[in-house]
Amino acid sequence: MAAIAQLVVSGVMLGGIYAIMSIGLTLIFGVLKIVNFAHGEFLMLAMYVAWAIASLAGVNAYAAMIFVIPVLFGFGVLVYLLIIRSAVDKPHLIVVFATMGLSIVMQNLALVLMTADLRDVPPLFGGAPIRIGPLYLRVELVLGFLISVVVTLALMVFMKRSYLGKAIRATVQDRDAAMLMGINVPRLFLLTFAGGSALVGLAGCIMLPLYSTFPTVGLNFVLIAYVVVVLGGMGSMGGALLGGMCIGIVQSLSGYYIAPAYGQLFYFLVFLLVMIFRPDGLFGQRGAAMVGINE
Amino acid sequence: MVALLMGATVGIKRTSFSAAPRRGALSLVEIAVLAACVAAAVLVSNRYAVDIMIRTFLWGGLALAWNIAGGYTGLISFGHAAFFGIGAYTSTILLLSYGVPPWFGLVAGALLAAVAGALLTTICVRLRGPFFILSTLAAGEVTRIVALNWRSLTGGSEGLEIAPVASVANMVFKSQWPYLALVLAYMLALFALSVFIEQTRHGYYLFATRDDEDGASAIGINPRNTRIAAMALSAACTAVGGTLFAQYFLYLDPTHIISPEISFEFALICAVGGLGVASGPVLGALIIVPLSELLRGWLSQSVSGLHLVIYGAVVIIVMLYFPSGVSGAIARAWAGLSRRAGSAAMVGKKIV
Repeated sequence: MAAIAQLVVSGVMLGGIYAIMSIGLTLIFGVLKIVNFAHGEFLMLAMYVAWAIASLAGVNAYAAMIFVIPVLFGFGVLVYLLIIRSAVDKPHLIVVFATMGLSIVMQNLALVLMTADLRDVPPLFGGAPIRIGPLYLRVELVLGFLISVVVTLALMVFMKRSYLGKAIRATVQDRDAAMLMGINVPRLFLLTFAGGSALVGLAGCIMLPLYSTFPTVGLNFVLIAYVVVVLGGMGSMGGALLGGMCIGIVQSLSGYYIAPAYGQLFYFLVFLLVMIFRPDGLFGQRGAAMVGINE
Repeated sequence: MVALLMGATVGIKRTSFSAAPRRGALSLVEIAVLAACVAAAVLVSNRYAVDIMIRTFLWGGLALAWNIAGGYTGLISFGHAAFFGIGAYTSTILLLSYGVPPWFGLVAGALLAAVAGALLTTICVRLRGPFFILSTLAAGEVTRIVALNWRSLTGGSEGLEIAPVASVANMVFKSQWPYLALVLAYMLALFALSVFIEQTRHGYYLFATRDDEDGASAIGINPRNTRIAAMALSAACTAVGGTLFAQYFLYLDPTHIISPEISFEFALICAVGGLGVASGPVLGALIIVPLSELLRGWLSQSVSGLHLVIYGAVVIIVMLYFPSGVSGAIARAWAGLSRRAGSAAMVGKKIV
């Protein structure tokens, strides 16, 4: 019983981290209707930048956020202006292949500049777990989970209340009508893309203490991010949070009771099942999967 | 003017940028490219060059196979490595465990991959755009993880090895030229199949389903069956390439054979060369494969990975500036030349 509680709680916490890593992807998809196939490499970049700052300035990864988030925001602006802007209103394949090319460039540039060595930061408090009742949890996991949940909820309130959030939701509903109402849609796209990559920056700082950083680290995580985003419904932030937690729990339970190698198999199977029976995800826009986006 | 205004707004529906069905027989460009491939295969004898040619033709054939689903039918798959793996593993397991010659194993692999392709498409037939792409990616990963963990069948991460003992029955050769002939035949056969598809009624069904599903149903085409058939054919052809790969390299392991990178490569070769035309994947392979092999050779002593940086940059540039790929760019240039030469026939004709 204690084992199950331990597994579920750490699964939920892991899921919070998967959610924050996926939320930029789902935001960009919801607004621009594109899938950024370089999302994993954005995460890799964020982790490397966080690692560089943490080890050069001797601060911990969470303090590095102050620097990493603006860097990733700026990187998002750059990528949007150079690649996405001219491709966003073309058939979706152009964006798919262009961002895939970008992912190859980034991955191998990282290999050239940083080599394939694993980069780590020392654990907080000497790696001692914290104890809550009968549960033992890693400090970094709990911290990451709390930050993820707070940021996700704050974002949801922001989308609901602020002018920018309303403009974003209006654009999601009807691009042309939003433009006719005086919303500067191209500028909104730029802000959303850069904001999405800033969120990846945040995720990178949270994940650096938990995982090693290496040039292809993005591929493992981006596959999880796709599953989370589809499970929650593309474009839905609350969906990403719940989707992330489902995947976290599936991974931690199947890893313990069956075999770690099959954990991945299970979440891909969950993904395919969702695709068969409820392709819009648990909270997505109805019919999105069937109509296809920007074809 | 109206078109200009419409084009200025963001996100209006555009038609596919993949090419329309072909009219007439082979173009001069296609004949020249294929003749150059055959001539190079016959004339060149340098070991390194022949190795690059074998890879180029094999990848050209695989990209042509991907193009049947991705280009002609609009079923963009990032899971084709699964079919590639099914082909490679089926023939290799049949050879190693039961002594079945790969010449027959190749057919078994193709059939199995066709079934897998049909199954995948049946499951995902309602999905569009990124949803379909991500599902194929997930299916590819499922196949990889199963292959990695089903040790008794696939040998797991240690992989399978075919004994390097030359034997025509076992499709293992001492010299390179039989392999070169095999992969060239594979690519030419798939090119012929692609041209055939572009000219027949059933091929037109694929284009119609890709471009306008409702319109296609209205004139009596069953889009669901069309998609399933196209994916099955594409998967079967990919599996044949998988067998050829296994026989040339004589070693298989799931991490390298069924990786997402392999699937991406099939798709990227088509995207660079031009989607939905038979010449596209061939041109794409002729550019991408030698480029990355040669760059690897030149740059690897100094920095590994640099050749892929250049490769990725080529992909981005082609996508942004030549969205119909190299074959589209050639067709446009050709049309421009013809126009300047005073050929009135081409004026105003839609090229891409």
